[in-house]
Amino acid sequence: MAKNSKIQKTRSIILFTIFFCSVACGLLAEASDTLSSSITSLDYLKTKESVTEEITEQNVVKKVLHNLDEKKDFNFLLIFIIIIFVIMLFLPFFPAIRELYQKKDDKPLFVSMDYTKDPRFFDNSFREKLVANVDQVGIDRCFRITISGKEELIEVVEAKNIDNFNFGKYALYLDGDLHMKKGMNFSKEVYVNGTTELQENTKIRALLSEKDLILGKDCKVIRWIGSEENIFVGSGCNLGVRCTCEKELHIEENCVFKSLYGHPIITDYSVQNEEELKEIDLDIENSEEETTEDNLEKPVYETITFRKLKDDKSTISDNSLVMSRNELSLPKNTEFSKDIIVKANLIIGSGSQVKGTIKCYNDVTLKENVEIDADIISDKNIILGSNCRVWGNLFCQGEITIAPGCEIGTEGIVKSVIGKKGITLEGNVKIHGYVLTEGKGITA
Amino acid sequence: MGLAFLVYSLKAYIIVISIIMLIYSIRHFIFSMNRSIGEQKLFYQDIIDTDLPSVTVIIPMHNEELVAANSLEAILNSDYPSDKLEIIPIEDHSEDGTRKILERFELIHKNIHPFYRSSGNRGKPSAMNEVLQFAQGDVIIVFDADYIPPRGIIRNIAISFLDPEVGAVMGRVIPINVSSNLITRLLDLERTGGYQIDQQARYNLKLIPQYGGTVGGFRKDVAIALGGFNPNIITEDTELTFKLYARGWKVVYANRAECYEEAPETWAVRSRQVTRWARGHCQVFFRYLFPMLKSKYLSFLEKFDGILLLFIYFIPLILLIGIGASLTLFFLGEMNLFSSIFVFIMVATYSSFGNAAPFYQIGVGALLDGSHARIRLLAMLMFNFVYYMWYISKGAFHAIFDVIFTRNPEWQKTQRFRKQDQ
Repeated sequence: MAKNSKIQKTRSIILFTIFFCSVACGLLAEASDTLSSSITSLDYLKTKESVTEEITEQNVVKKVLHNLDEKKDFNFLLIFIIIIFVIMLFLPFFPAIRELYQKKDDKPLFVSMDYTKDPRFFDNSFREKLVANVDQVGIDRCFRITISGKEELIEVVEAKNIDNFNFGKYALYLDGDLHMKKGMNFSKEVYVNGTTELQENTKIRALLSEKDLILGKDCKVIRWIGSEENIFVGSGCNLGVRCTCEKELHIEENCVFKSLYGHPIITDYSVQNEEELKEIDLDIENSEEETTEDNLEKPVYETITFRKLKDDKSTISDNSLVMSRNELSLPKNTEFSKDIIVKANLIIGSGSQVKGTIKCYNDVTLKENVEIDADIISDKNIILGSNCRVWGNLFCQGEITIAPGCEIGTEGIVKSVIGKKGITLEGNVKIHGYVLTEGKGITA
Repeated sequence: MGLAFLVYSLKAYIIVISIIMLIYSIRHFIFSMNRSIGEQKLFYQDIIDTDLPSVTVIIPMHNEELVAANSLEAILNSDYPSDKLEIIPIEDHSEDGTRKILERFELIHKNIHPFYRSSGNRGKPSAMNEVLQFAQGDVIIVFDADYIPPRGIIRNIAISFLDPEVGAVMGRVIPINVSSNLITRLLDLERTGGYQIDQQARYNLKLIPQYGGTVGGFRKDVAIALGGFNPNIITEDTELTFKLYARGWKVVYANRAECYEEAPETWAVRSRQVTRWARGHCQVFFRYLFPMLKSKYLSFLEKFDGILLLFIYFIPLILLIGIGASLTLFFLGEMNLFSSIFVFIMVATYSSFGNAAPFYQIGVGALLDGSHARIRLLAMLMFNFVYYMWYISKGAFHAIFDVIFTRNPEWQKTQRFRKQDQ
C-alpha cells in the first residue's frame, strides 16, 4: 500500500512537471520569437536612418537602442522575463501554502442536523425558554436567555403595570392580559402570558401572546408576532417577517406581510363598495318571490380528454399529460382528470373542475368558480378568479393573486401558498395553512 | 507529404480542442454569473403540506460496520411522519459485522426492513433493482452508508415530488472530513463548485441538473417503468438522469437538502473513485447521447447542456492528446498556427479561462457559503487537474474499450476512513 502511494506520488509529480514544462516552453518560445522579430525590425530601421528624420518616435527608439549592445541586452531581457514569469506562476501558491499551515478555514460547512420546517419553530422555542426560566424566578425579577445567538436579559413584570414601565432596555415577560395605549413602541422581544390588545400605531419588534392577539390599525411589526390562539390584525398593518398562530388569523385590508400561518388565514373584509351593496339589496327585494330551487341552473360539465385538446401533446406517465408550444385554454365547465404540464400559458374557464396537479411554465389563470383538486405550480404567475376552490398548494416563481371568495386547502390539513415575487390576497379569502413570499405580500 | 499532413492535423486538433474548451469555459462563466447576480429559482422545500408522499429510504451497504449504525440513527431521527417512512438497508454480500448491526436495528424499530443479499450480482444497481420490486414508498430516497442525514432532509427531498414533472431530486453533498489532509480540502472545494454553483445554476437556468445517486430520490414507479437500473453501468445515477430526461421527466436540485459525506482521504482511493466515475459516465454517453438528442421533450438548450454534460469526462483525455500534439508541433518547429500573437492569445486564454473556468465556480461557491479563507487553496487545484487528467483519461479509455469489446465492468465500493463510533 505504501509502495503504491509512492508510485502514485511520483507519477503525479512527473505528470505535473511535464505539463508545467510544456506550458513554459510554449510561452518562452513565443516570447523569444516575438523579441527576435522586434530586434530584426530595429536593425532594419537603423540601416534606413538616412531615409527620413521626420518620425520623431522612431528616432527616439533608434537613439536609445543605438546606445545598447543589442545581443547582450537581449539576453538580460529574456532572463528578466523568465524571472517575472516564474514569480507570477508561483505567486498564487503562496496564499495556498499559508492556508495549509494556518488552517483558518478547514472546518466542514455548517449543516444544522436538527433543522425542521416548522413555521412556529421560533415562537415555540422562545416560549419554551421563557416558561422554563420564569417559574424559577418570579414576578419583578430578571433572567437571561439566548435569542438569535445573543444573550438577552428578560424582565418579568405584571402586565397591568406596563404603562409605567420604561421600555426599550430589556425584553419582557408580561404576566396577565396586556392592553396598551396608542402609539407605544416595544424595541425588544415581548412575551405576554394572556390576551394582548395593541392600539393603533403601535410599533413592536417581536411579540408572542399566549392567548388572542389583537392589533389595531397601522401597527408595525419589525420582526415577528405570534399567538397560541387567534390573531386579529387591523387595516394598514405591516406584519414584518412572520405572523403565525395556532388558530385563526384574521387580517383586514391594506396590510403588508412576508409570511403567515393560521388555521385558517382569513382576509376579513368585503371588496364591494356601498353603491354596489345597495344595488344588490334592491335586486334581492324585487326577485325574492320568483327565485326557487328549480330555477337555479347547475353547470353541465364537459369531460375533456386529451384528444380534444388542440396542441402537440404526449404522456410521460398514465397520470401526466404534457402540452407544449401554445397557450392552452380550457373552456367553461370543463372536467379534466389528469396531471397537466403546460409549456405555455394556461387559462381554465369558469366553472371547470380539474382533478390533477397543474404544472405550467408560464402564467396560470383560473376564471371564477374553478375547482382544482390538487396543486398548482407555475414558473411565472398564478391568478385565481373569484370563488375558486383549490384543495392543494399554490407555488410559483412569480406573483400570486387571489380574488375574493377563494379558499385554499381544507380544514385540518395544512397547505401552502408560496409566490416568490409577491402575493395579493383580496377580501374574503381563506387559506388553510401557510403563506410565504420573498417579495411583497398585501391584502388588497 | 506525410509530415505536412501530420502537422496540419495536429494544428487542426489543437484549434478544435481550444474551441471546445472555450465553450466549456463560457458555460462555467455563465453558471458563476448566474449564481452571483442572476435570478435564483425558488425550490419546493418551503412548501408545508400535511399530505406527504410515502417514502422508502434505501441505504446500500457492503462491509459498512464502521458507519452503518450512525446513518441508521440519523435517519430514524428524521421529522418525516413515521407512518409514511420505510427504511430498507441493503446488506450486500458483506463479510464483516454489518448484518449483525442491521438485525439489532430491525428488532427495535418496526419501520426498518433490512434486505440481505448473498446471491446474485454484487453492486448497487442490482441491489436497488431487487428492492424496487417490494418497496412500499412512492418515492425512493437513497443515502450511501457513510452519510449522516439531517432531521429535515427527507421532507425536503420528498416534497419536490408534488411537481408532476419531477422524476428525481438531488441534494447537496458536503464533506465532513475536510480537515484531514490536503486532498480532503481540495475535494471540499470541488464539491462547493459542483453543487453550490454548477447544479444550482443548471436548476435556475432550466438545464440539466444531475441526479447523483445519493442524498437524492426518485419516483419508484417511473424507475420501474423505465426498466430499473442497468447493472452493467457503474454510474447508475447518471444513467437514471438521462433516462428520465429523454422520456420527459425532470431532475431538480435541492440546495437546501444538505448532507455530510466522507470524502476519500488518499490519492489512491480518489484515483479509483474518479476512474470509476469517468468510466461509468462515458458509458452513459455512448448509450444515451442519441436518445437524448432525439427526445421530443427536451428544448434545444437542454439538449446542448446535455451534450456538454455527457462529454465532460472525455475532456481530460482530449486535453492529454492536445498536450502531446503541442509538444510534437513544438519540436517540429511548427507551433505557429496563425501568427505568433494568436498563439499567445490562445495559450493565455486557455490557461486563464479554460483551466480557471472551474475556479470561477469554486471561488463564487465558497463566497456564497461564507467561506473566504479556503479560496486561497484554489491554486492547489492545479494538482487535481493534472492528476485527474491521467485517471479520468484512463476511465474514458476503459469506457471506449467496454464499447468496442462489449465488456461489463465490475462494481467497486469506495473505501471508508471513519473510525468506529465517530
